Amino acid sequence: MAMNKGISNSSKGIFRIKKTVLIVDDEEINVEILSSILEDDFHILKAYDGKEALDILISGEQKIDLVLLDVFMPFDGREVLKVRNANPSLKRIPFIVCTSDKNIEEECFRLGVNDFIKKPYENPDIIVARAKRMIELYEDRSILKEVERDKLTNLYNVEFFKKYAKQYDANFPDVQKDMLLVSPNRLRLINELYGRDYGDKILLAIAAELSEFVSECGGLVGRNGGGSSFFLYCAHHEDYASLLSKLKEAAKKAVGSANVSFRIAVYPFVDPSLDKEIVLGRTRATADSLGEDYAKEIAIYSQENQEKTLHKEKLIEAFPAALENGEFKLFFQPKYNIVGDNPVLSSAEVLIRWISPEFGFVSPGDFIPLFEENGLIGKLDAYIFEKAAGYMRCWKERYGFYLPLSLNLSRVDIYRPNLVEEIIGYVDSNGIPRDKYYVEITESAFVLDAGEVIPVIQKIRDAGFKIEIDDFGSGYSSFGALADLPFDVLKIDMAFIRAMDKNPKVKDIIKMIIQLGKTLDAVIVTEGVETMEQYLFLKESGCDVIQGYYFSKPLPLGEFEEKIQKEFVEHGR
Amino acid sequence: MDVKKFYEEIGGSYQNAVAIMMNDALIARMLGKFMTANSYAQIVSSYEQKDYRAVFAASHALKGVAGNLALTPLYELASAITEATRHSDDVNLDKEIEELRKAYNLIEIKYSEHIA
Repeated sequence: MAMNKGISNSSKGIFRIKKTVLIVDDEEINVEILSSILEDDFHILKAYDGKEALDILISGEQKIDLVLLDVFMPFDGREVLKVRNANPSLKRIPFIVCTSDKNIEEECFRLGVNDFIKKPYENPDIIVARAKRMIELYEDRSILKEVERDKLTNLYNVEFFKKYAKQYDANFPDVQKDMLLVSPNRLRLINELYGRDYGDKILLAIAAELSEFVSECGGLVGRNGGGSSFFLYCAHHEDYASLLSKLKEAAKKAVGSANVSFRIAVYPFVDPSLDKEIVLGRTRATADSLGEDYAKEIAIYSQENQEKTLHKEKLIEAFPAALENGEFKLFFQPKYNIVGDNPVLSSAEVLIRWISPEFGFVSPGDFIPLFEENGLIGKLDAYIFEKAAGYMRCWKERYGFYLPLSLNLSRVDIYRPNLVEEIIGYVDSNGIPRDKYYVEITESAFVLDAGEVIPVIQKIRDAGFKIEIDDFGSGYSSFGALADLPFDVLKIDMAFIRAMDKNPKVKDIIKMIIQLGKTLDAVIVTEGVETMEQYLFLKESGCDVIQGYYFSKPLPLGEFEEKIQKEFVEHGR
Repeated sequence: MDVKKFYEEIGGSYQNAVAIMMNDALIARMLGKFMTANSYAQIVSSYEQKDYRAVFAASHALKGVAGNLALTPLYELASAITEATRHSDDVNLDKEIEELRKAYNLIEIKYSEHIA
């Protein structure tokens, strides 16, 4: 693994997690000698009197695994031992006293010291061995060991990951480092479909792969306990594509399936002075920004992304008030029946617009996916559905007839309990005949989750509402699936109209879809119609209804009502 | 730089020094630190002030360091002074202090000759 030439590596080599030894002696030379003996195997901290040592120990900032303690110094070693005895978290740390004085031994033993090293230091190898052994002995009895690591993968949990990350910063201040979040997508679904063991095998494979990765380049790995996120803090890499493919390979080997996809969020060039929790938070947010888009596998944190995330959070915060203040406006795009000699306004699709005093015009492309992600879409759709029914009742009173409206149902709404009862509520309470109320759902919603979606849609249709399938032809459904989909209207995806002029084959395909729809007894709507040529072609091919800028863009309430006025009241119906 | 010769000429133990500090470069660095420290002067001034607790503490410290650096003459003298002052105040240490001064001087000279 090639390291970027611009980075200097400490002469000690690459970072591995080392146990930390605190050396306490008021004679600098003694500290230096011990340090040189131990530094290959341990991370070393130094203190020159008992007070300094206690400050380091009690602050808990760094995890100390062993203390080598001189006795005779300002704030005597024996005083340190006394403080240690009164402090449970310090009692978990082994202490070795270094002294030339035989007389001190008994007193120190009574104060709870674990072992002695003689001064003058004799055999460096023995000193190292003693230190290692003492730490091992203490680890075996320490509860901390359980707390420190995740049970399944034996990786550090987040709190210890952060502590050791600081150690990495301290040891290798000249190395540029990245923070990464690595996660297999949809693990919960995988566990449900294939069982917990399957998912665990994948997690173990990831843990092994990431551990190997950091052992080669320096760094550390942690796991979000119980979750599916892994954290890496490692030397900077220009790109992580090879890590990504190694992970996929590893998952494939572990469970024999190529279906596991991953996401990697990278926060490059971490500033070591930033609190690790902040860095982790931003890395998580970068991972979240990938959303449900499993095609995009690696996201890099940038100031820009950070701002986007903050903006999203502001939108979410503003939602409840915005809903109450009526900032969400229903717009109506007219649909024209083109079967007869002249096009006739026959219905409209309801679209939502957000006009915010704070943000100005917020595009549905921005807020709809956002609200779908965190469940706010339910409230919004309920608002729209209810308002739409209200308008239909108004228009009946004013113009004497029911103008059908198409309402978009989010895939996320399907999972709401009592969804059908709610819709029935809005419509019936406004006295609207149910067959004038069209519920629109995209084709992709059926495909992604057919088992869940179809029964609900069927229920809605059985209740008397009309079902309109949006973006038909855009997606992934097979012809076979068509047989299972309940629908009354098929809306041909805009993409076909756009492609039509460039590619003559598309025209044939459109004709075929129209024929297919007719055979299945559905009304055919085409949206995105912009030119006279497209209109004429579609009329000729048997399309029933057209929606698009050729006739009208989506209109606010006032303008739409004017249109209704003009078309029906003036021209008669 | 000849660390081995330094030790030979001051009566120290190069063998012990290497056993603890493993390479000449480290030994030389530690000796350098020792040269700038004030261990000898502290013993002398405490003695002149008749502060025997301070003499004990300073000689004990010197004993530790000299032992780690395998500066045998200093180690032995510092040990003697330490034991003499461990429980007693007002001991006559003129002879030991004088020997200490001589040993120290020799070390300074040989350090500049072979190491500095």
